[in-house]
Amino acid sequence: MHPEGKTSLSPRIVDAFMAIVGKENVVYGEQELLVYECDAYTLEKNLPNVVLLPRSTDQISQVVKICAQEKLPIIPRGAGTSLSGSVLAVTGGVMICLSRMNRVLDIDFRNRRALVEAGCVNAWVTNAAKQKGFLYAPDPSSQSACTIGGNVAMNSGGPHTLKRGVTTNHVLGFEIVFPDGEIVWLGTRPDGSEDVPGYDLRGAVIGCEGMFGIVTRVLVKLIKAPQAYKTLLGIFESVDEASQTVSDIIAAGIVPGAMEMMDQMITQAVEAAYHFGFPLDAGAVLIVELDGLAAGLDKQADRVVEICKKNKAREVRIAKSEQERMDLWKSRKRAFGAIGRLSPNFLTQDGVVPRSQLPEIMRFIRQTSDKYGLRIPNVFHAGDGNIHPLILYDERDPQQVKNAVAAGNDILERCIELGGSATGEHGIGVEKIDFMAKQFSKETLDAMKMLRRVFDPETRCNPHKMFPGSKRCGDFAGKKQISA
Amino acid sequence: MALSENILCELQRIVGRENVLTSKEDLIPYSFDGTAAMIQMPGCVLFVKNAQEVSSILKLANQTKTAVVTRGSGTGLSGGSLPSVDCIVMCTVRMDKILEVDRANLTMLVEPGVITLTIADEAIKAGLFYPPDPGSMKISTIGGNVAENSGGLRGLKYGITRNYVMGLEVVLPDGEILWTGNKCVKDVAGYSIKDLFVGSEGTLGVITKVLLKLIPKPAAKKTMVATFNVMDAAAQTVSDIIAAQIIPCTLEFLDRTTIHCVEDFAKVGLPLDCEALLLMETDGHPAAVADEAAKMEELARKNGAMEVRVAKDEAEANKLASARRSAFSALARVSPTTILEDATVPRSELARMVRFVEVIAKKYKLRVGTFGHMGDGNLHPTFLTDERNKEEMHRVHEAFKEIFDEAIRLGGTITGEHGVGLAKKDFLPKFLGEAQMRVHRELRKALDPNGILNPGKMFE
Ligand SMILES: Cc1cc2nc3c(=O)[nH]c(=O)nc-3n(C[C@H](O)[C@H](O)[C@H](O)COP(=O)(O)OP(=O)(O)OC[C@H]3O[C@@H](n4cnc5c(N)ncnc54)[C@H](O)[C@@H]3O)c2cc1C
Ligand SMILES: Cc1cc2nc3c(=O)[nH]c(=O)nc-3n(C[C@H](O)[C@H](O)[C@H](O)COP(=O)(O)OP(=O)(O)OC[C@H]3O[C@@H](n4cnc5c(N)ncnc54)[C@H](O)[C@@H]3O)c2cc1C
Repeated sequence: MHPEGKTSLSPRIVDAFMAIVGKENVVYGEQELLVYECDAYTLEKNLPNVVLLPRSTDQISQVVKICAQEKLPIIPRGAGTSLSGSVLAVTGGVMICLSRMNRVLDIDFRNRRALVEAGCVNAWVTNAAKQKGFLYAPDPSSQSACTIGGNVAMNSGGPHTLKRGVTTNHVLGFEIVFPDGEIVWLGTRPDGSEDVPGYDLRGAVIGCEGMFGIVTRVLVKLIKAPQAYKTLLGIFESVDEASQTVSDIIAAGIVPGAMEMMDQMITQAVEAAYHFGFPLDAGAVLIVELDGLAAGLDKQADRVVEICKKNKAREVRIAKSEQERMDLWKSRKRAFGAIGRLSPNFLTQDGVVPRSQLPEIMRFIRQTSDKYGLRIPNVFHAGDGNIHPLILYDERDPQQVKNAVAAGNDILERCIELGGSATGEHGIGVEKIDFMAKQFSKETLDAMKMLRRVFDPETRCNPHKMFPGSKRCGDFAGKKQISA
Repeated sequence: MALSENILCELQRIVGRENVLTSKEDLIPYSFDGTAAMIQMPGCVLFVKNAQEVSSILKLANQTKTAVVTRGSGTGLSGGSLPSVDCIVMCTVRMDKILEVDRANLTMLVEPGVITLTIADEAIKAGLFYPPDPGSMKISTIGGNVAENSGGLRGLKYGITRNYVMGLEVVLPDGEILWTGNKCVKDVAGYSIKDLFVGSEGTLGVITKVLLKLIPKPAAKKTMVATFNVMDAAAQTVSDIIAAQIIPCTLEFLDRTTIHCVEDFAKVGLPLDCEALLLMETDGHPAAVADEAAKMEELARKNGAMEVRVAKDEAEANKLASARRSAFSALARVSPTTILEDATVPRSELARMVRFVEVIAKKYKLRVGTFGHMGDGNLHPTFLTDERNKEEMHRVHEAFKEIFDEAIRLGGTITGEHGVGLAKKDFLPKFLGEAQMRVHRELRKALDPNGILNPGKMFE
């Protein structure tokens, strides 16, 4: 299973690590390490040599300096919820897990910022700010588990990306330990103004999938929580009409907080599981959530209803209370859970297309489904053009496993052809390495590699990820995957 | 002119004879930018028309180790497009086409030489909105805006140029052409190369196409002007507005000297009997706008505003906004040399910084006009002087040193939005520290091993 070039680690070095972070913060020994053999992408697995759970930037710096001396791979880890295998210890190495550096250090409501440790769980930031009416905008579905450091590394998005943007739009600056152990603050400092002269190294590190160093403290922006919400659910005859509605809403100058779509197959599964009262012959269900000042929302909602009707919506429901709003969202949030009724296994993809290409990519997914004889239901961030086709298969049938992978590849290639990308939020990791050369020209790939060597000349930080030609962990096991 | 005949011939072949300037008179307008007291004659000026030409020129420059300075409209205020000795000035103003307006995806694809105002107008025509509006928007190019990551009057609410760049075509110093970004609202494949080029001040590559993000046009807008007889009251009003959780799209400040110069120049009827003026604008949903405008007026009055004037209509609103935009030009009219500086401090330190500038001006016996994007904490103390007066220029420099030190001490920076260029080069290492400077140098060296692109700018 292991690729050649597996890292070995002498007990002497483990002792040195223990002396720095404390014995109780070192995970060593095969049994204990099993937890760290993969992230939420479970098709490839491998054990790191050791996992360290440091408690300070200084400890991380010291550990990283030893790794530099000994030429050991380092793998930063947050909560391990990555869906692309970006935390996989491909050839083993020293995994540095931030989970014990998880405090909200300071909230500056006046300047609307919060300083947190990188291991701080995403949802905790909003929890800490909410009593004063503020929130941290990026809200990945995994927000009750994933860490801010992981979000920075993956440039994570969430259902509210359309209106509010992704992680890079909300992270002002951070402290990072470079692969040589040096501690540097990039971007806006905790007590500094937002403008920073020089190159935007902050922006270059966000989304680097843990390959430029270990982020230890993060300064994030807080925004005012919306005063009010208005949530609508439209039931449509077809995905095409629902997609057109998405485009028309934007064209009308309305930017909803979220626009999420479920197609017929998902709707049926959700209905069978939870009985929301969706008609079983509906082609698609679209959830539109408006947020902002209470004053303007009713008018906007009227306009959205009008647009839905124009696109032949059979019915538009408007949540009349917070309870009804929660119920509407429940149907979306439980969609993945309902898949279990349809198929023993599924593979989910995370392609993205310019919004105007949504109808086209949805048609293509239907064709792909026919071509491989696999069912592919869809539930996705329609407003962002971010698709999540769920390719259903049965792992006991090797041909189905092969077809599922092929169907996924076809869909992502089509996304790229349509001017999109193979990944809207889950990252390349080890999973999508093969798409890099399809999506980027040689010049762009070279520029990326050059950038990597500037930060990490020895390419020791989270190695064997992202770039074509990277080592792989042997064969794929057709295992069940968690999905967003 | 010391560019060799061979190189010139080759350049003429690449861009066409009619697109090369070499005579001294022709070169003079390109020997400076918007920065005071900096002049250097280039070896030649080229007008490029496409990425392919840019690529050929950079390849030639690498072979012959010739310096190349990219130039938009030359309105930069830190010497970014100032020529280096015998360099090739590569001017983008003839790459001025709007290539596509995509209403469904809310994007616009443009060439780098398009004027910022043209982009804003084109967006409005499509019922959309391109918010970044630097004071120079009537002349600056979008390529220059991206290279400087320019801000503008609406920065507080809508952010700066970086927030609107979705994709770039860039010619790297070795002549390779690369594209980064796309029309998707999210995309996490690979590293975010795009971010490196935004704000790189023409040192890492030449931008040949820009894919911009547009947003829906706000339905309503309200503009008002409040005047104060003490500077602190204006600063306090800004703090109070922010503390009240209002994010106006514009919150601009002019001091007494600036008000007088602007009124002299633009005749908009600004009150002359005040120490400070705030230009405030809120936009968005009509109900929200009315509500916020009322609150801002109330806060200004609470802080002792002498007068709060609300624009009656769009025409009056535009007049007030353009009065602010003309601040720099207005100051520039009254003295032979205006040295505008650019310091940003955390919002909570604004009043202190404004007061400090006044004290320093007194101390060094200088005339200063201060204006700026108050909401962002971005101030432009502008000294009215004469570069022929060596002794006074010396005092100006001493004054600036103190202002910068104070800005950094208050947690601020030396450049809000005008870049490092040549003017602030000495301050960059102070601010960034050695480790970051090393990354900067290595990055630049990796992309531009021969150091041909805008040499000597930003840092050595
Ligand atoms: C159920 C579920 C739903 C999800 N929904 C979404 C969603 O809506 N949107 C979305 O974008 N993603 C989503 N994800 C993916 C995942 O949660 C995000 O990528 C998240 O940002 C990962 O955070 P983490 O703390 O778990 O990081 P990990 O998985 O531990 O690490 C991810 C990457 O970040 C690096 N890293 C982690 N911490 C640091 C650090 N401190 N310094 C440097 N590098 C670091 C790692 O090396 C690795 O490359 C979902 C995942 C699951 C399982
Ligand atoms: C009256 C006045 C008001 C101003 N107000 C503001 C303001 O409110 N906010 C603000 O931020 N700035 C302001 N500025 C500064 C200036 O206008 C901006 O920096 C502007 O973006 C420069 O654009 P330009 O086309 O003139 O670029 P230039 O001055 O020609 O060049 C600026 C820099 O960009 C580089 N460059 C230009 N084009 C390209 C390209 N295509 N590819 C790569 N590099 C390139 C140059 O090499 C140079 O380093 C103002 C200037 C003036 C004179």
